[in-house]
Amino acid sequence: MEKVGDAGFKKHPIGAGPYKFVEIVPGVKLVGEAFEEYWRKVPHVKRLEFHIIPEPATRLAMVKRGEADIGTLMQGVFYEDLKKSPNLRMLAPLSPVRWITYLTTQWDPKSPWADPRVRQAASLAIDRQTLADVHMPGCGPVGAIGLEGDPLAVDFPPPPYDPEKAKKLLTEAGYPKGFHGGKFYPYQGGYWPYGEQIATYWKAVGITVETVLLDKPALLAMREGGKMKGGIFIDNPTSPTIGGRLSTLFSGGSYGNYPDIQALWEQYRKETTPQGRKELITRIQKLIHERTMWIPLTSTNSPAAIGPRVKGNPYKIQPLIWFTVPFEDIELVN
Amino acid sequence: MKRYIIRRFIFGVIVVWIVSVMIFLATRIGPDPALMIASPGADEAELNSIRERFGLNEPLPVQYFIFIKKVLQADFGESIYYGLPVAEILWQRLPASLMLVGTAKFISLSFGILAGVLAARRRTGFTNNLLRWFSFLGLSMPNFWIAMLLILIFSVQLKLLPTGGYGTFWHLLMPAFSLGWYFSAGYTRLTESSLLQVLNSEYIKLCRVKGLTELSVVGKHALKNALIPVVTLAGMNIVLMISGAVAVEMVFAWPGLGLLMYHGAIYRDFNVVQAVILFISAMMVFMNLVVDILYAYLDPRIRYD
Repeated sequence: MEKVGDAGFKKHPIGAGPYKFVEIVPGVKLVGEAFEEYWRKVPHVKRLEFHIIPEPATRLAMVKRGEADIGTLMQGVFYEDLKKSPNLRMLAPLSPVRWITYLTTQWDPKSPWADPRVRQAASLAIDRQTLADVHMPGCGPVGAIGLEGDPLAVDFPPPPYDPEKAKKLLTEAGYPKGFHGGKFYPYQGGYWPYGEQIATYWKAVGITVETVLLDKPALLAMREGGKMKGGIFIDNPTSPTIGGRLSTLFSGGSYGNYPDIQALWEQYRKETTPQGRKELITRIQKLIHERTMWIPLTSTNSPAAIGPRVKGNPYKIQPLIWFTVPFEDIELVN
Repeated sequence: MKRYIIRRFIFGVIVVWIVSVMIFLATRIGPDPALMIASPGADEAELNSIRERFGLNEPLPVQYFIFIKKVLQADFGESIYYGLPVAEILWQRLPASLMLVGTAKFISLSFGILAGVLAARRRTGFTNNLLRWFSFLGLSMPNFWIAMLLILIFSVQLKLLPTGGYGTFWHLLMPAFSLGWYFSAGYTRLTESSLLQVLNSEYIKLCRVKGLTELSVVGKHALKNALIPVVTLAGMNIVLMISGAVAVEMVFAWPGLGLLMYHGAIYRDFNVVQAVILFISAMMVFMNLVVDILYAYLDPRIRYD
């Protein structure tokens, strides 16, 4: 760094990993060569090339033709196509993302969303399994925002698909003919159909929304700028721990909170004993679940097309990482 | 002629300046760029540090002055996503873009003019019908769809051409054809109609009366005038071709300016987006100037002085 400076380091970085830097063309490709003295093991593949191919159809075609060995992010129709390809394997490690629906007006007493029965109805109206099967094959419904394996996360069963009960709850809440739920912002670009299907489920029980489709920059700017107030949006907390997830949802990116939950959260942040922290965060999660503060939707995954040259499972060590690591473990047949 | 070129050049500089103001305002007036750059849940301290790093806390006129001063020194700032100078990335991508657009232009013009001449000379028959259908198809299908079909046929099924990427002549064929076909169809129709009009003019009749060969009448005397609207369209189409290349570059992962702009938009890298748009607009102005000069060459009646 002292010799070449920051700019020089960016052009030719040096690290302590299993591959030595060979070449980078920003936004196009990165090439690495095996570092034979790597402490853990000698990488099996001598040269790794990462190519950025934005179009999934092209990625899949490249793996089919043998121009690439692994093609990531094969979602939707490509997932189905991949399953039909006899020479390719499909691996779909789960991602740490949990999709949730964020209802920003639930703290406004005049809003229909302030009634927990309405929020519960909106949750029961969604057929999560079909949603996952259609848009994220290989994934499933979720009932909590925490991840399995996180010692502080509480797992709740996914709410069932019960439109009749949803209608009953809406009637009990005083909306027998349904209501207009405001603006609805599905997650960016490729995930619009996922959001549109949720809007369709809600419409079937009488909740209409005005769906607003925004690309990622506009969506994130609006979400972070507090400009989605009054609406509903799909959020995707990504932190691996429940504490990290709640921290994002309660602090910088918060659109409101219930005073008792906020008080417990403040207490949790100050608490230093492991047992005390566990008790507090468990109570917080139970309250969130009981009030349907957010509507958990589905898990997500990253299906990848694996070509015939790749041996074994390149995702085996860290199943929650979206991509193929550790690289030194990837092996080729020949 | 000289005065005309200078006048057009000054006009072009004004156009580029207006574009610079528009693109600058478009990236600043909308949502706070710091919010677009920051990670989800960023606090005010992080947002302030981003604003400071990219000079976003200065008043807009000051920001614009700093921006344009740097642009004049060929400094487009630092890419937020890549962490490298934008100018460096731009120059890295330019050859691929020029190669793609240049080849697509060559394919579209050479095929379009040849097919247009053939269609004008033979008004009926199999060749004419075939050319008409080919033009019709090229005009009807969006280029990203053509790109997908080409991959399916020539890469996946026939295994003749590489699917995507950059590096050899074979990598260039499918992207250039996908981009060029649409335009070649337009040139075919325009060359045909323009040539038919010219072939019916008095001076062509005089050429024939003088006993010139058909090749000389069409190739030397008629085509030169018939090509004026084609050249105009070809010049105007440059910008359409570059913007159309965004989809083609995406499908083929062709590392040109279109793909750079696409990534710039996706990764909220406004420095990259404004640099690419500004650069393309400057290219557009330059191409228009070249077209104006070509007019004078193709049509001796045009006297700008």
